[in-house]
Amino acid sequence: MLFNSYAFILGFMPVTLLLFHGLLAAGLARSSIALLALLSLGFYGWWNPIYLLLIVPLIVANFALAACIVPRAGRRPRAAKPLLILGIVLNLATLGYFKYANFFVDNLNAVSGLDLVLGKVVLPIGISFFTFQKIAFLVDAYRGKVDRLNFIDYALFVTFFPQLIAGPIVHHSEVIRQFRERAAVSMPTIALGVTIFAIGLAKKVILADTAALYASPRFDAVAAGARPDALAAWGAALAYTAQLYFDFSGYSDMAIGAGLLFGIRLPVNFASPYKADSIIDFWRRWHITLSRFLRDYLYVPLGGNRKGPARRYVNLSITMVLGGFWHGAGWTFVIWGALHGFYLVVNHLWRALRGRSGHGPESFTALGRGLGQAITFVAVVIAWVFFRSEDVGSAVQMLLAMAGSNGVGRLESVESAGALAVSTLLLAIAWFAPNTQELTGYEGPEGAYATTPACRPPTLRWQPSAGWAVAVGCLFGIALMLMSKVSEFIYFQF
Amino acid sequence: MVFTAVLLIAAIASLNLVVDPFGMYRLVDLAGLNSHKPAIDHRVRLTKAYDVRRIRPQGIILGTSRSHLGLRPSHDGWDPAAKPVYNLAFDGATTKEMYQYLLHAHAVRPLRQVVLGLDTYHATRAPAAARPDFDPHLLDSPGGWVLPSLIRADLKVLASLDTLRASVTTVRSQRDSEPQWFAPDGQRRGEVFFRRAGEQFEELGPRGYFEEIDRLEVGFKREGQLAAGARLPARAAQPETAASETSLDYIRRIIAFCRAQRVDLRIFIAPEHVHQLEITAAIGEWTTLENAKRALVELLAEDAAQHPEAPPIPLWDFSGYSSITTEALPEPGSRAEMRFYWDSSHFKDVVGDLVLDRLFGLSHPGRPVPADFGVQLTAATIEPALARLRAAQLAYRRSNPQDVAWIRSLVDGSPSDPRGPGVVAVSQPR
Repeated sequence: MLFNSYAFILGFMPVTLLLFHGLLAAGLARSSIALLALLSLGFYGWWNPIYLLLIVPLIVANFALAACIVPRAGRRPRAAKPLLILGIVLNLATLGYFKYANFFVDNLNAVSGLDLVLGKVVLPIGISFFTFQKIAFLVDAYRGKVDRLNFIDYALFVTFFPQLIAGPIVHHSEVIRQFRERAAVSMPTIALGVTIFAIGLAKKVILADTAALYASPRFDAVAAGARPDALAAWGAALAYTAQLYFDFSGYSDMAIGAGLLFGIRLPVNFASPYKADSIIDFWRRWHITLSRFLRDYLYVPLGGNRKGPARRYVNLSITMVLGGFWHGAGWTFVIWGALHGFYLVVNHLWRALRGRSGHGPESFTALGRGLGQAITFVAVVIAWVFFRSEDVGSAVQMLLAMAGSNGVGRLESVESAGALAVSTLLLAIAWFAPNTQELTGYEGPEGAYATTPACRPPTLRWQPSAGWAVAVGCLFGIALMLMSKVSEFIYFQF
Repeated sequence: MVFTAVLLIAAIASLNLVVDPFGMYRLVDLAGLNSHKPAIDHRVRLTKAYDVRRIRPQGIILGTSRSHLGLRPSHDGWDPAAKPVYNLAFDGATTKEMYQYLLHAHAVRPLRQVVLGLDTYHATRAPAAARPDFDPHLLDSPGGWVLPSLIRADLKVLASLDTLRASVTTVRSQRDSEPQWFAPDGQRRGEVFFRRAGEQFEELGPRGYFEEIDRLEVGFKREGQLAAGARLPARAAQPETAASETSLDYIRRIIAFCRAQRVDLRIFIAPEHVHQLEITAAIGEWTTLENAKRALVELLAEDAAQHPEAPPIPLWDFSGYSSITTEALPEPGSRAEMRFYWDSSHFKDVVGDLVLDRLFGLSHPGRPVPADFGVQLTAATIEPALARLRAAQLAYRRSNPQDVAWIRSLVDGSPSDPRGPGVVAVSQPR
């Protein structure tokens, strides 16, 4: 069940909260954690109970491997390494089969002219996310960074439903301790949780879904062969840029809000990415928990920046291409990742150049920052076109259209003007409004694994007060009522 | 926070309940506030789901806009024990939707009699589908654990900003004197619907409108062809639609359900004007049409074999070359009306009455059913009937060369690639 569904908000959540806080109040802290793990499995099985046959054995196998690795780590690393490799292969092979098997067979057929037939492999939801969390855990067990092992804690770390489906990608060090130190959840924490959840839901159903109305039809039309003019193409690309941000950051907010209702602080995942003044800065603000995973478990093990600038850029590119491929089994995602890798390399080269010429690596003038922000934003929009398009051909057509190959078009065209106006309005929110953390003062788990960029001092700070309760309540109510669509059907024939 | 949200939602839901833009409850009916309900026009599936809850019919008509327009629940052939009768047909109904609405009506109150109006495109192995405004949550179904309809349907619709918008439109539209074509018994009143000022039937005149619909039909049938083509597995890896999820299979389910629940089911293939048949033939789909009829006969034969003790379920085919369906078009330029048809797809009440007379075995001295109108299809009669149909077709073509040439010109002039006219046309006419 999705967070933005009645089943979740009006059914699963109230029941889970009631049971959880009931056990906690009865002094059964450990039972409350076990219950959360069980209900999280129920949440996962709601999509398709068959998925449980995958996730449960994976949890057991990973825990067993970790239990074998932990006593050997440090003292007998040679004995632990094969176990670590086995674990990584197990997780990656599972991900590879479910997410990429069709992609590889299709491409192999296309290249070789073979006609291998593989039934459609259904992708179990959330597998990309929990695979990473399990691998990080095994690697840290090997590095001796896991001290105490407990199956219930581990099971909840993997399955905790707020983060199971779409992140944030949680690091064990930041949540397992919270599971162990259970105490009653304070009212202000619950109020903060409801507020952040409501903000996230509103981002999703008010902002993202509105943007989608302007993005999806145009991208679909291009995939079907339409050739829009430049204004229409930019309208769609900008609308998608707004849609994806509000959709994903809204979902992360809902996850954080839901976590807080159980007294669990999940890491911050978005920090106004479109305010970034460089691509390096962008990746510190967009899907933060993915960036830090890729940095620590892919980029650094590849050698990071320790082997000279050339290797550093190669490592960066590999990391981003694989990161792109992680988002989806398609060439559009690979190209999206490669583009960002390229952007990052250019960004690093530029900083090196500035450093050499005696300037600081980053510009401190308002103009310099503004220019940086504009260039970064356009580069990000161009990459999103690949991310959204059905296939590479459609993406290229969309970019050509944006470049004016089908004419500029007329602003009087109602559709183009609508898309541009709505996107501009939504992006203005992303550019100028305070983000969820700035508004609420939420900071993620204590001693958080990664630091978030410095927040502006908020002009409008949420407090657990009556006024804010009414305002957030109205927002929540409107978002809930927007979730229910009563579709029209204008159709008379036949 | 949660309290505010609940309060806000309750306030808006109450407003929607009072204004009732989709005619779900009809608790308050005040001229100047909500008695005129234009929002119903495009939410017929929703409105009908609730009409069934309120009216609690024991007899229903299932079908597409043809049945929606042409069949009267007040016809005197209905089983008196099946009253009240409600016309539960709606535009573009698919067999899956008909099945779900059948279950819904039966769950509300056990049914006694069902008239099912099919078109030949229903009896194919195309994947079962539903239209965009079909929402299974609005419907009940017998047995099985489901959320109460109060939560899954009522609250969902009432606590929706879409409904609030419709409420506002409703209140603001009270001064429009647009006549209501949606009858309380579910029928679409053709006399009101087609004759609204500014609509195409009035603008173009009956002849011009008939031609316009012919033109749209070509696009629609091409679309159907493409949809059927798309279902052919392009690659071996793509599985074909499971047999239990085809359009035809939902007809099988309707039959099985009515059998199991002892509901008197009568099926007919709608009396479309022969221009429809000629278009079907011209685009090369005649075999599909014949096979659809064969498939229906086969379904009913299977059912009869399983229930030797009970009378077989009748299937009447009105889709042929009869004295009704071959009605001549008005002269070009004239504004004369046709007696039997609004357009090639939709027949008038007089034809609907004859259909029900046949189905119910009624004979009225005032309205004799022409002998050539309707043939009962069974395993024994199907092949001779199809052969007669082909012969009648040849005869029609000989005596109506102008009609045939007109249709040929439409088909030849219509592009057959996916981006040709088709679904784009369906918003016209409303």
